[in-house]
Amino acid sequence: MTSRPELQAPPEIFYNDDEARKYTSSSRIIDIQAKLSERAVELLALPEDGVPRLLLDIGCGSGLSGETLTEYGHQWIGLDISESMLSIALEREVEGDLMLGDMGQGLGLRPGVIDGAISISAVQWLCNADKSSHDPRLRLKAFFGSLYRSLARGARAVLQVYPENLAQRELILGFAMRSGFSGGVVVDFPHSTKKRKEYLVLTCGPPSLSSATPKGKAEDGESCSDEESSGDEQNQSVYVADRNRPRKKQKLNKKGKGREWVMRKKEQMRRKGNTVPLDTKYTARKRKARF
Amino acid sequence: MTDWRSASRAQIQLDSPEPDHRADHSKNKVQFEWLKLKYEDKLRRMRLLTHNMLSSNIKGVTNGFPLLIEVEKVVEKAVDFNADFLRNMFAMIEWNALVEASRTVGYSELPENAESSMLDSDEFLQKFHHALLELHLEEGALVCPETGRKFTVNKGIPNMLLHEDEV
Repeated sequence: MTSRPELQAPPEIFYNDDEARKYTSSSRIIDIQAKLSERAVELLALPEDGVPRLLLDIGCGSGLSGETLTEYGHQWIGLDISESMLSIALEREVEGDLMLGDMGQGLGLRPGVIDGAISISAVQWLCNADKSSHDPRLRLKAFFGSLYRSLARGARAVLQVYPENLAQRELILGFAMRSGFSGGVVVDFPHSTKKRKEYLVLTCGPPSLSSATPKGKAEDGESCSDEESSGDEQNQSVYVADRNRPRKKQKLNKKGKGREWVMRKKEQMRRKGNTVPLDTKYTARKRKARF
Repeated sequence: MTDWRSASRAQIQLDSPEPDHRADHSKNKVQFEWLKLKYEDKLRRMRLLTHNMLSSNIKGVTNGFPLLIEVEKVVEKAVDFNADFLRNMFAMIEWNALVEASRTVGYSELPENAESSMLDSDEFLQKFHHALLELHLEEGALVCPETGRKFTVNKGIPNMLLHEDEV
């Protein structure tokens, strides 16, 4: 069981030269970061008029997430607390401007100038007190307060977080709401332990139709539409009934696991985000006798 | 435990002359790309765009904007021109601060006052573009206008970390 980096050392110490290098030369991490930031940009829901925006990348690290922003054609300013990570970002020649700073001290930006903010796996660091002067509550308050101020009205912030537990999730979301944001949490792949990702989608200003929280993803490349999710619910209620079926009845059925069972399992795996073969007429069909 | 692990792994990746056969190729590719970048010393600097957004965040400071610039080294770097972005940014920019900052780094072509009607002029947009995106402060400092606290800029990265008593 790998332990969480937040529990090992403060960010500016944990991401030292070695860790920063390791982090940025792992193709797996690069891949995950790219996917997360692509999804974050999608959730930002910037108007698609081809105009580059000024975005903020909080906890930009070595600029992996910023590269996605550059690919979308946006200008960005990155903020990170680890000097080693930033110097790797310099070496990788990222397009955005970099800034050494601590988000828990507030962002130090002029009010209303940023068109949107993303943050990939960074905000949960605020929940730790790494120095005697640190109070997670004050730091969260300073962070969300300054983020709210620096965003233009109606702009969104998408923060991908790995909260350690329910209490942390509530703490983070609570402070976001208290600083005036509206919005909520979008959970992608809620049924999978590995692929499950949480995004705080926050909109500057009071709740409105446009600030409604988007739906989470259930499977790669497609988000759950209303119809699908209602269908899921129906299926789920069937599963519950199945689960409670008395054992004797199961034993009577000696044909083994039928098509229905296979379909149910496949649906389950799909919801976990695994790659599952398509359903065809051959699904769960018995092999011919010659096998 | 993490320390020796990360150290040795980084060492292996850097020192081994032959690519590790067990590792997949994409990993090696990334590694080599990274090494290549390391030796071509092309660094990114802080643009005046960022300077225009930054304000001093020290406790008790009511007006931390604009930060004064102390120049040690300024670099010019050509950046793709995008008129839409400039028009969009014009509303966000504090014009006087931009004029002041561009003069400090040695570019005095910007007009004192600017209105949104000027955005149609190509000449103006070019100047705006040059000042906003192509002038990079590499070494120097940003100074808080109220307290005089210096935020050093090193390799184009401003160090905005506050001391404990400033939070």
